[in-house]
Amino acid sequence: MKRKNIKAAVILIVLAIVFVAAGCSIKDANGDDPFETDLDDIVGLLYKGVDVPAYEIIDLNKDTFKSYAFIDYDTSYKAVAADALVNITPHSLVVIKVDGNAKDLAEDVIVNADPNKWLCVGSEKVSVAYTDNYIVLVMSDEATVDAIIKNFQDIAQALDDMDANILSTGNERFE
Amino acid sequence: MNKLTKKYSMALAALLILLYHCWINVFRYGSVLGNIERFIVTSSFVGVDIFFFVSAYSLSTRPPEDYVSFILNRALKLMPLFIIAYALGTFLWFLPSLMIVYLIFPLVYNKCKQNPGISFMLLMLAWAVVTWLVLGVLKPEQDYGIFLFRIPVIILGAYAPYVSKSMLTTKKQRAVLGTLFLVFGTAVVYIWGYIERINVPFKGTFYLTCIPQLIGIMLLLGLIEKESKIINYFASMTLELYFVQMVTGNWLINNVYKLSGSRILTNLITLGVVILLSKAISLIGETINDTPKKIATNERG
Repeated sequence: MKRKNIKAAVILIVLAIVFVAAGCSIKDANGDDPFETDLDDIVGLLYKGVDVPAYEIIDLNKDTFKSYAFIDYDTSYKAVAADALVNITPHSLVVIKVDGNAKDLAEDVIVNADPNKWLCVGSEKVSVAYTDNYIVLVMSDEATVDAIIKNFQDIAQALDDMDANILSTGNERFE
Repeated sequence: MNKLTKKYSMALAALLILLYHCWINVFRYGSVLGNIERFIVTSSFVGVDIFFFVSAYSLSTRPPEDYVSFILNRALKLMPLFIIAYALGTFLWFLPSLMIVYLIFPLVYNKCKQNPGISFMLLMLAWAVVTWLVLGVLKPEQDYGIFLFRIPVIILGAYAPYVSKSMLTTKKQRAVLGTLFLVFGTAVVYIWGYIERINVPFKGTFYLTCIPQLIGIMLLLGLIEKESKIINYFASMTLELYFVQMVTGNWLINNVYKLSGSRILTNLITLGVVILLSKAISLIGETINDTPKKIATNERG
């Protein structure tokens, strides 16, 4: 009897977790997020027409910023990351909004970006594109990186009234 | 470590590695459950360390009698998986690393077992020097840290039989110490292996943070006395699980998620398919291995 009760309790707990999980199911790859920001919209535009893996958008803060953007955090920055949902897919997109002077920061990002930040896999290519106020870091396979950067070039005029500058590097793991 | 503990350890290692590679987070990022889930998934790289630890422990307690046939046997088990994966575009670093352990370990260990205390210190010193030379002087672009920072765990595994024989005699002692190590180790991993991974002095240093947690896990697994069919099932196909998840996991997860849009469903389907495929490969391997024996038996009969 006692054993049956324990089993029932375990089943109920598991069911509760599953329901909470379903209820809490977060903004997904289609972007149904009730707290959309302009950076989320930019991610949507950057991924438009690109075959990207399943991903989630997360707001970066002082604790998480450096591990995604590879530069030190500043309270004036706003940033989101749209990395692949699963650790086995080496895909990362970071969009940072700064108050001008993006060039120096973008150069720091490309120098520090680690295409092997995933434990067992690495991304083929790293690109950083920037305008005056926006920096985009993309790490993924070459075709995906190029397609996302192309999308950024297309929206750069609308964002900052200027053409995007591009910095790129490979990953020696693949060379 | 008895056979049962070894089975539980191998099964746990396989499941943790599967979790790390193939689980997509279900709970909301930033929520309490989301943080717990992300911590568990991200820190499950300890599965690799458990595998290395158990392999070294087993080699230490039952060193191979015939070195050449042992190496051939291991190579025939590991390398086909490595070559197939490589041909399919996936580099399974873990398999050649394990092969290196099998190649070097029996040679070194025979010299070391005469004087465990001193040889332990010397091996750790040699590891530190080699790591510094490779990562600090040669500075290769490839990520050698992923293996180099697992070597202390291998050395610990090799020398663990001396500790367990001489010190921890009662179950209560092991339970208390195991729990303490697990709690303390989990905190260490959370702070230095999860929130901000320590990569100083070299990239990959954070792998060392899981050592206390690993010791706790091993001590606690040693307390289990009941056989489990599920555990036996997973323990019998650890390498196959690793192979299948690395070769198919990426494709499976992304496509199932695109089709279903559900994270829970994606996890269930992916894990199910990976487990079934692994079992199929394991059975094929067993059949290939058993065929010559059966032929020989029939010929004798």
